[in-house]
Amino acid sequence: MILAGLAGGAGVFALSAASPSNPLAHTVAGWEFASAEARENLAAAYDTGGWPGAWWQWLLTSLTTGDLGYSRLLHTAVGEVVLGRGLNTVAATLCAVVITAVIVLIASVLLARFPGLAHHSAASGLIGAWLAVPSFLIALIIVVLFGRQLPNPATSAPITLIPSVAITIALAWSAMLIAAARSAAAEVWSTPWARALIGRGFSSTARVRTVLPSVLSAVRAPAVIYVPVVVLGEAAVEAVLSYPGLGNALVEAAAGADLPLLATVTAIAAAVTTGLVLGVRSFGAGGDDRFLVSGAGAGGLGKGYA
Amino acid sequence: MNRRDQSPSRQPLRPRRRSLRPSRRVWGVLILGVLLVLLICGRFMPGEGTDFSRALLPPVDGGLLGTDHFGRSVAVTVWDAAGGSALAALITAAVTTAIGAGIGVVSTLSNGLSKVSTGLLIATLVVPSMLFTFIVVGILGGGRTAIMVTVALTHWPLAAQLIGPKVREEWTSGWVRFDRCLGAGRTQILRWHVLPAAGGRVAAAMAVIFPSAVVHEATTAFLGIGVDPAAVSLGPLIAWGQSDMTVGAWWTLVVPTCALMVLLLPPTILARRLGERPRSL
Repeated sequence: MILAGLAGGAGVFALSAASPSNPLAHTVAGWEFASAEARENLAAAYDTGGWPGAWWQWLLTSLTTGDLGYSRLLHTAVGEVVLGRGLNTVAATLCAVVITAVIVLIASVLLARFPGLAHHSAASGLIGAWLAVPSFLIALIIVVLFGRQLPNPATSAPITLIPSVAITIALAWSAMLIAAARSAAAEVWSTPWARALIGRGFSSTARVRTVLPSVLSAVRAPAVIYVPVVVLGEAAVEAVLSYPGLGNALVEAAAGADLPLLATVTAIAAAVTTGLVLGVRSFGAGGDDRFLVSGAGAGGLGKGYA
Repeated sequence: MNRRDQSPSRQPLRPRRRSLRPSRRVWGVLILGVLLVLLICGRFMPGEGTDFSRALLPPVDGGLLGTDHFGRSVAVTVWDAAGGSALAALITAAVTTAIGAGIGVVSTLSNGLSKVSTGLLIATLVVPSMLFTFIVVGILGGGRTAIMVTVALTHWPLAAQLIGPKVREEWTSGWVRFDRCLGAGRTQILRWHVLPAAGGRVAAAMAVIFPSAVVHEATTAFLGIGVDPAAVSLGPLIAWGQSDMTVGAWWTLVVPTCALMVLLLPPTILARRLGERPRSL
């Protein structure tokens, strides 16, 4: 199904490249080298054709020009915006990945070390409350509490803004992953085998060594699949913190109905999400799931011991 | 000391404690319902006009929770905004759950339909829901209605995933086979077995979709994407509050933020509890 969708998308691009109605089909390369007439034609198409027409024009031009169209709001080729701001977003995301990994690892070790923690109602309530806070509110709280310590976005280099963005994204992301880890730990500690670890007097280190892989394997798939959701979904974070990333550009484009930029970011998000989902489905299987009960058989033995 | 008392088997790994018993769940749902009704009532209260001479008065001086940038009572404005968000999210959650449940039930009846619904489900997962909302609302406008439509379009798979397997499980159970042998039709089986059994999942789906709809609406409005300037919403109130914080008017930010959390916290916690053990509801 996904492959059919991808093939369909490639077909649309191929058709658009060959379409005689493409105003920039015969230019050599890009907006900046297009003739004035071609630019006027394209601008008119974006303005008068309604959103389906504009979307189609973006499809036509994106492939033939190679610069993904022209952003009317940012007054530059969309390809340049994606390259410039995309790198900022990638940098912030990598930092967020590291911070999230540390937070989730600590939480997972605690869940594997203390059996009661996974079943504790206070822990569940705390995670529920954490999950309830929208990411833009987390960013807002950081701005309100540490506003004076944060660098001025107008005068500072993007790299100085990365820590605040990365911490905010990590806080929003790790809530989801810790919730997944807690559910997995609760399932693991409900199995008779896991109870036997305690009953037979295994040390806490042995418990952690045995249970932690199952908890981490439950976190792995959502962590990968949620990457684009977190990165592009956290556009609000970039907007609140005035970070010059792709998410902030997306918000500006949505507020100003800048379709070429919107369409490009959508295409990137769709491609990344599809790739990650396919990757997880193809290579993500496995892991130590001995203790994880399967489906509806909650409370029973794990697959490996059934 | 007795050796048995020191053994690890005496450590408190008790059988799973029910953190929210059925009666407490019912209380939780009831309290949430009353809270929602109270909030929604605010939507129908007479709104306050702007009065710039009373702008940014602190609590007590400017009424219970002070006044905002436009001289309106913060309490009344926030109540109105929260009520609007709650009403829209409630309708969205109900409609989305109905769509998801319908697709889940229909896909159970036929393998072909099941494949189609799975394909639709995968298609909706390709673009993150918040991004989809930004795009649709940014291009088409339409304010809160458009936001809620996009939430319904992107969240029905969740309801289908929650409700579909339960329906399938009931549909293939021994009781249903027994009733079929006695001549019961599909409608009767749905009415007698499937719908009552899926009730807990329906509640769980609604409890998950409701806060998501509120977050989508608040985030989109906060960023000023496709917002109707005349509409009162928590997002713009928080955005204005952020700018008013610079002149020390903390109440304009704190009150709408707390209202948003009041809208989000109970259903999120309830959704987690219902999602953990939906069978026992």
